[in-house]
Amino acid sequence: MYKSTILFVLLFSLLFILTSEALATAVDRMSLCDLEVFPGETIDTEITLEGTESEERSGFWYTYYKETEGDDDRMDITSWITVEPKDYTIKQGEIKVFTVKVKIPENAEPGLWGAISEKAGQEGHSAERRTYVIFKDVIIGGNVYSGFLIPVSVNVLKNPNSLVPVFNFVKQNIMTIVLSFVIVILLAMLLLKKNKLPKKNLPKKNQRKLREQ
Amino acid sequence: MRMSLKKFISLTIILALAVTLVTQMAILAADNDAGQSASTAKTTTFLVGGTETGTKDTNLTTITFPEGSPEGTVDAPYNNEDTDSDPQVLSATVSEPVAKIKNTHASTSYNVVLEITTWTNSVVDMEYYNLADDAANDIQTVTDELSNASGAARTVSTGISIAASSYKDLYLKLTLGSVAGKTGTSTLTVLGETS
Repeated sequence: MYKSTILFVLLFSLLFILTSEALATAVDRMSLCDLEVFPGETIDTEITLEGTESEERSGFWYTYYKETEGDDDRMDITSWITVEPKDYTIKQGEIKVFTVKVKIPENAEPGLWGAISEKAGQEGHSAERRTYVIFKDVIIGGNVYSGFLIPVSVNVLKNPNSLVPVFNFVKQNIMTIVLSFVIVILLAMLLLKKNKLPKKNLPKKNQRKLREQ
Repeated sequence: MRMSLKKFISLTIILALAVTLVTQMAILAADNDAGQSASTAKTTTFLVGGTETGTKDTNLTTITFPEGSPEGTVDAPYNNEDTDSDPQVLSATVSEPVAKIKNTHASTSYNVVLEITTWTNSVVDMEYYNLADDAANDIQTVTDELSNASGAARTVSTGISIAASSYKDLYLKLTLGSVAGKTGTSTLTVLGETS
């Protein structure tokens, strides 16, 4: 009786463990919002998926625009986005890395694209999102998929002034630059003084010679 | 070789400045590691499972609608885990969904977005859904549109979120098209989104 009770408990626990392990797919990013980039540039972001289900799943990535009344042409940036690789299969414990590439057109005006607010990526702001990347997968052979919507928005920056990097460097290293400048000045002063000193230290005979010249 | 006082002071100042400069650069280069750490749990997709205690935590693979008359309604689909012996039931007292959707994340609630692909062979005129509370057993109607006209693809933000480690019940219904003797297919996707 005692043995059969233990066996029952063990089998029941095993059943619980097996059922609670059956999840789906995990992702390490919930949003890709406020990416800052200049016109004509491409920004790459890595996303990883992790298989948590005992059965192999097959899936793919795609882009989605949530069309909403009153939207302007800044909201649909699906044509800017690609995910590589697009298709995947994933097993339990397997981790796969994908690259979301966002290529900003040369003629893109500065400002926010793909969402109506810079807070779109934050919790409680789902209504402000418009452009997404989505992954979805299914147990191979099935027709019921599960997946996740990841909002994407881009803050296109003004084309930079060519002197901006110089200004930034000076700003970041102002103390170093000032100290170096002071050291150089002092060294220069010392050297100049040194060049004058030998005249004084010359023997009187040589000093007279110099004066006659 | 005697060094003048002025020269000595100048050299001392230069040396002091150089030491300050080197120290400052070393501080800037140092890794400001305060020894703290934090981590967040990964986001997980919804589990679309069966409807019984023994099947609701098992991912199902297919949902099947039984055969119906052209232009008729089919409201008793079943999933492969519970099989055709345990189909969806619409009832004022003992309703039962076709699938349960579980948010497997331990601490975050997610919005539910449903998506279907276009039904093939024009067999479906319209598909509907009802996303009900886990405990509800009085679901008699399924009226929210899941497809576009003629069974065309659609993505629907349900406006419903599922709390961490909780379930919602999914009910589905079809109105068939006018074609007879055909079988059609479509895929259903249950997507999650942060609220």
